[in-house]
Amino acid sequence: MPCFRILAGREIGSRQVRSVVSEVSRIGRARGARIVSRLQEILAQDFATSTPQFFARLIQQIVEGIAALLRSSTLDERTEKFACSLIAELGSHLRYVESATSSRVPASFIQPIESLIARVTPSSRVMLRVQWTFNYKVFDIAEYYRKMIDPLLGADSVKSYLGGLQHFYIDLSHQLRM
Amino acid sequence: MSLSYDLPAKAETFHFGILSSKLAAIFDRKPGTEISGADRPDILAAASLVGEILNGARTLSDRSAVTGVTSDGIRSLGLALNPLERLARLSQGINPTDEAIVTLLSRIYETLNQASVSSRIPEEGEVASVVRTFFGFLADAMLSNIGRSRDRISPSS
Repeated sequence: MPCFRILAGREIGSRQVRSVVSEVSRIGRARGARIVSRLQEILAQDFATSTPQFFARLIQQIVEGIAALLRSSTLDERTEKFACSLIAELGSHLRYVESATSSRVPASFIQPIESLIARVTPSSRVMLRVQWTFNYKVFDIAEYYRKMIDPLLGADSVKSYLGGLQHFYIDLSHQLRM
Repeated sequence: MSLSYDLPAKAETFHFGILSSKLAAIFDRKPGTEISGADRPDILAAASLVGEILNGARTLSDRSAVTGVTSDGIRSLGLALNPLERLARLSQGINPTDEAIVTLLSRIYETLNQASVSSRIPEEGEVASVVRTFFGFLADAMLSNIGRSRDRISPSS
């Protein structure tokens, strides 16, 4: 549920506005802390390569960057709501890392594909994960992160988190039976 | 609908929403206030966005005016049309014509360009108010889209 719904049905005067804004910020930061904590649990699992950890660190850095912005209290009320929603959105991307563990995707399948991508486009990485629905798709999540996060954290912020990487592909395949 | 399928639309919604929200806040400042170097990229990005929407909107009033129209412009117009109609209704009190929408957008576009050159919030209160209200409406519409799309995500994605 989006955190800005806390405003629903309330009549707020000018003094109460500040407390509601702080509430949005507080919820956003608490949500960010939960995501970081969940990431640590996920990272304790086995992964065939370091790519899922890289992606997890990317999410963590972005979430911490947004939380720091919320803490600085420089945002207006509406932009705080966007920041809070963005943290929630990033939290939903944890499922990409959760479904990329060694128990879900065989290592013999991952390494050849990662090596192939590294040879074809050296400034890219690919993370393989499984999904429950039938379909096969590959998309560059870095492109979407630049579009949705840079307006809030500043131009080239995602670029700095990616550390020279241009593309981060997520490869979704149907659940493999092992 | 799976998350990945929905991600391009979500990224666009966040992009337009955050930019609009920041613009509404910038134009909410006292007229004549200096626009800082940190705000300048947002003003330029907003001018570019409104320029794109304007190109798309011109096709509404003049079907032959397709020069400079891009698929991004048409898509952006789709997102901005409801807020624009709401703004035009607010200022004119009637259902707006296509020409009125184009005029309104042109005014917003010029104001943003002037603000970018002068690096100041316009002194004329009404102009700043139109820009602030338009971006406020657009940001609110995007926030509402985010809430709706989250409700639609299926657990199987």
